[in-house]
Amino acid sequence: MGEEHNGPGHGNIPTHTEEPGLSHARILELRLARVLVYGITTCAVILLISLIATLLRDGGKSVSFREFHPERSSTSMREVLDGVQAMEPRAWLMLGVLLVILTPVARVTFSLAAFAKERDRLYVFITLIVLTILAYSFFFGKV
Amino acid sequence: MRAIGTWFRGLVVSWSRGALRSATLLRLMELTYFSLAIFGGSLLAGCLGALTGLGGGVVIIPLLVLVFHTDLRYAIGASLVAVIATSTGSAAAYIREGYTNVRVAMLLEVATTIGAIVGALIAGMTNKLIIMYIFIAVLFWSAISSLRETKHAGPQEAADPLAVKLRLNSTYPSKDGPVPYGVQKIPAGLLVMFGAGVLSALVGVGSGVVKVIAMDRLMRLPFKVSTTTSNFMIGVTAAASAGVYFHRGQLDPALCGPVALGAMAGSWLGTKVLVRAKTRALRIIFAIVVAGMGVQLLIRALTGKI
Repeated sequence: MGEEHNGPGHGNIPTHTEEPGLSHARILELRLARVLVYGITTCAVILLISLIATLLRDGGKSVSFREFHPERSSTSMREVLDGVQAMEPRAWLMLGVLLVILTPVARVTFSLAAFAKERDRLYVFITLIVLTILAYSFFFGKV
Repeated sequence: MRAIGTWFRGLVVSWSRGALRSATLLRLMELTYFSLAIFGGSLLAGCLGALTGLGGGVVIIPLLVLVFHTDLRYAIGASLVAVIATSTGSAAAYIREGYTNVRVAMLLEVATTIGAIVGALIAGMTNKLIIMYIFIAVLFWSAISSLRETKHAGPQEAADPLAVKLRLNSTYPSKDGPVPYGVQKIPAGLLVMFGAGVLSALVGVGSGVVKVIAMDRLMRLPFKVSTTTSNFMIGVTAAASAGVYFHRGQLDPALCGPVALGAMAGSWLGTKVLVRAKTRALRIIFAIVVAGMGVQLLIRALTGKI
């Protein structure tokens, strides 16, 4: 054991704290893990509260998804954000869903910063490509 | 005492009435029952998805279509959200364990996200029934492949020079300290990953089957590394197609909300079990569940009830 643990580039030690002996890459990974936990927890709280609010208001109504009605759901960020401002429970629920979808995008963005900090040009470039493709889907997704 | 008795009887009567209504009128039911039932189902799916590293999609879609009589387009949208929630929910725990290879994930994501955009475009032009048959094929494929033994990479052959250049080789934790491994056949892996992205967007699954196979068989990553890295990448791939589906109105909050919450809770439970779980037993459970649902969907599709 022992000697390999503190060597540079051997950062895969199963630990939950950022000890000084950890490799740089490992510290970045652990930070990424923490960002993901915060992100998903925020999403869960928003989803839970807005789901309860939606059920308190519309809980007794009948729902059916048997037929596809694209006009029933909001299809633009603007529409959702307007509803969020008006404290519309359904819009808040949709916001929670959109935030869930954005967690992987946040992860990619974080990795970009992490690779940049490591001065890893190759992976900064690779991560930028992934981020561009994701941005394309969110901004030009209407096809 | 009598008051409690009456209250209790009232509760049982109303509950059984509700359950009866749920059973007969699942296609048109009250939002509260609907949400709770969907939450429960997604919890199971999320758990299974995290345990097998294959994402919750292969279980969520049959659940929504068979039990809740949901249109396939809604089911695919909700499934993608579940897939993302499962991936993010369990990724953090996996990184802490030290199995995930972030560089491999990022490199392959270039291929999977391009594939996902292409797949979402194709889905917009394809008949619903064709997509259903493709999905059923994916289900059977998932079931069979999860039963097959994967050959372990074992001691490394000659290291791929490209893997060295891209700094993809890494180590994974074990009882005896970090075990080093190398990455093989990167161009072939990228090509398969593009296909995985197309499939993921087209039928709304994480395509974990394809990803795990590419990483196990082609790139020769150790099983737990490929499972966790795949689980990590699945979210990014699904996000690329979910953006397109959002603009198409395929994401409804009343459906996606409870599905996302259930999947999150399930994946959280799933990751708690992973490190100790026997992978063989997991694969068998997975195969049985998935194959059973595949048969049911096939019957529906053939009898024109989709």
